[in-house]
Amino acid sequence: MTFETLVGNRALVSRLARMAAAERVPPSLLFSGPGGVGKLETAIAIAQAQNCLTLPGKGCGECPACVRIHKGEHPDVRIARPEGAGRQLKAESVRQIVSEAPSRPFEGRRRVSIFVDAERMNPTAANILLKTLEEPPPWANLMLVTSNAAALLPTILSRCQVYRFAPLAIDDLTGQLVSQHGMDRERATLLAALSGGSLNKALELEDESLAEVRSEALRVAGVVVDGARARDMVPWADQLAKDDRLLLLLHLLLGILRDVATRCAGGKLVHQDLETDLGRLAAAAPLPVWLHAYQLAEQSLQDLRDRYLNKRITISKLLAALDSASHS
Amino acid sequence: MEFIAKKDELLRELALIQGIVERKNTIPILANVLMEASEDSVELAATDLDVGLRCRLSANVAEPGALTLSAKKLYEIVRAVSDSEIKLKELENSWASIESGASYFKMVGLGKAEFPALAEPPAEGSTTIPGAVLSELINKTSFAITADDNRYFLNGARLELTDEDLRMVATDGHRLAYIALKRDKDVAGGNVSVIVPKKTLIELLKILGDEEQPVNFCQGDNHLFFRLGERLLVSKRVDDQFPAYDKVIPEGNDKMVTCGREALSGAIRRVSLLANERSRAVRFGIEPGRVEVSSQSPELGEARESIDAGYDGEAIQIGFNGQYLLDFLNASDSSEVRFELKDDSSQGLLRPAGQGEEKDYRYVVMPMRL
Repeated sequence: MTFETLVGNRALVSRLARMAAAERVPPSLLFSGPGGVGKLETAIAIAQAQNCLTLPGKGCGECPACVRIHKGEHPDVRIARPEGAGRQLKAESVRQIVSEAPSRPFEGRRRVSIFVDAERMNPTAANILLKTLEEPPPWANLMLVTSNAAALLPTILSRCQVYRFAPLAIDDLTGQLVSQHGMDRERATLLAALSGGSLNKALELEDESLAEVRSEALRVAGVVVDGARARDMVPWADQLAKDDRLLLLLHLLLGILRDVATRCAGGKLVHQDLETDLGRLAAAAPLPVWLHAYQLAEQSLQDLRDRYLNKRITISKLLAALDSASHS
Repeated sequence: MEFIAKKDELLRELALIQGIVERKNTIPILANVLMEASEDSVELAATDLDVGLRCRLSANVAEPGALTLSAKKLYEIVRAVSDSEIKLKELENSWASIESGASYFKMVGLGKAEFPALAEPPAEGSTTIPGAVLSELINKTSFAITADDNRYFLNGARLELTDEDLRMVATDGHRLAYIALKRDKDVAGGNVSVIVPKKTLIELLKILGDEEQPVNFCQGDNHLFFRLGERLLVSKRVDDQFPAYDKVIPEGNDKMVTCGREALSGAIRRVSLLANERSRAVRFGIEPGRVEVSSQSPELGEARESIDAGYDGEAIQIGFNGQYLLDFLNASDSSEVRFELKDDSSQGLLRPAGQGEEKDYRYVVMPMRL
């Protein structure tokens, strides 16, 4: 893991790399942006550059220091992660790091503390961090990584320099899936497109029987133009609700609806292999209908994922709403 | 790696290492001791990142190399075997075999690459302090260091070497122990002013033991180094401002009370049995010729004891934490101590009575409101 192996967010990453090379990394950093776009990897790359034995300022990724930093076993580079059932970044681990900060580095040049999913700190833990974050000792760097910066306390936010990471470009992500994870290009392109620019998401999707779920999602999208006969709708909704891939299906449905809307507006498609089907749908209803359908699907996804609503009711409601979308 | 070492020597060094190895278990390899065999000796090293110890013992080295093994298990094995010699040999995949007499052990280890690199002392700028002097400095002050304080600079004692004397100061904000010994010919080197963490002091005392050997001290960019013969103690450096202790030590306390050290400590020990368990407050009623030590707590009852004292000023009542005074009385070795007071709300100063020119041992305690 060095700056060179990082993928995406090139301008941002090379700016940070230049800071590391010039030994001018801001003492308190916050990396925000969606999950799986390389925020933690960037933080680790900075720590390696700061403590590398063979290529100081750059990081080689191979010397004992770089290797141990990567494994989380370097005495001067601490990586705090959420733990336990509540997935909390515990006050105890924050306190541990804060208490070490005043001592100079043990063997490296900089003492680096990385907080993964910093939004999982409760206010107690966050408050322990405040003083050190405000004024780290001259040899310390603190880096907070979060995919939900809005959930951080304003007192934390105001003490950090914030760097926003964008989702990875589809091409970058495809390339990485092919080169680092040994996928064939076709599958990698599809996963990259579906992941919304997140490597983690793409890898999660890999295991699922994608094609099958996607064709089901295409059928759901078809409801908007073909309608669904009332008597079919209930058993279909029952069947969908029982499928444990329901969330994935909704994700894919969003992608498909987005593509149809893009098609109406004349843009580039993600699901290029479905071009015929998507074209047929786009021709059958105007853009506002598809935008409306997208909002409906998005709402259902949020209901299920974040509000834990009843699956059967949510999906029935979605089907009914999609059915009437073209009439309203 | 393969070597044969004497059991006694290996056991002695491993025993010292037990106090060092990491218990918090943040990085698994810190529970291990690193062994590096070369030519005719084996170097052992362990650290918990706050303090590290490196020691060397002579051994019959058949094959040089390096390996880390669980410090605790290795110590237990070496202690348990009956033969006087131990053969340690590295096997494949960082395993090691330990043979002694008819016993055979095979232990899983970890490679050297994951072990943190211990800092090397700088070549120049060292200071030599006789071991007995350093022991005395530590014994007379370390009890006043706080256990766990967010003010990191208080989690250690300040060691100062000036042209005139060698000083150590420790405080927790409620009391302060200060000792200065006149610099003599056995002390060599330039001026020093550092904060030494508490754990380092404790380990130093263990290593010093009863041996009369000089300690060679020096400081690197990030660490403090104490070399005692073949042993090197590496400590983290606490970088912070130590309180301006000379402003805390009162001048001009004019009420001087002299009493027997053991009589006073005995009285405090007995009377504090009924003191408030949290505050440990003990009252001192001082009048010409005697001191009445007393305590009371609403839940328990009250106690008092009078002792003879040399005092001829006006009567004064003052309260102190009994434990704080006992700490000083136990560390001090004179037959009489002198209390120097100003009034019931100013800090009290204690020192051994009849100290010579060479030694200046003082103890400041904040009074308690009664």
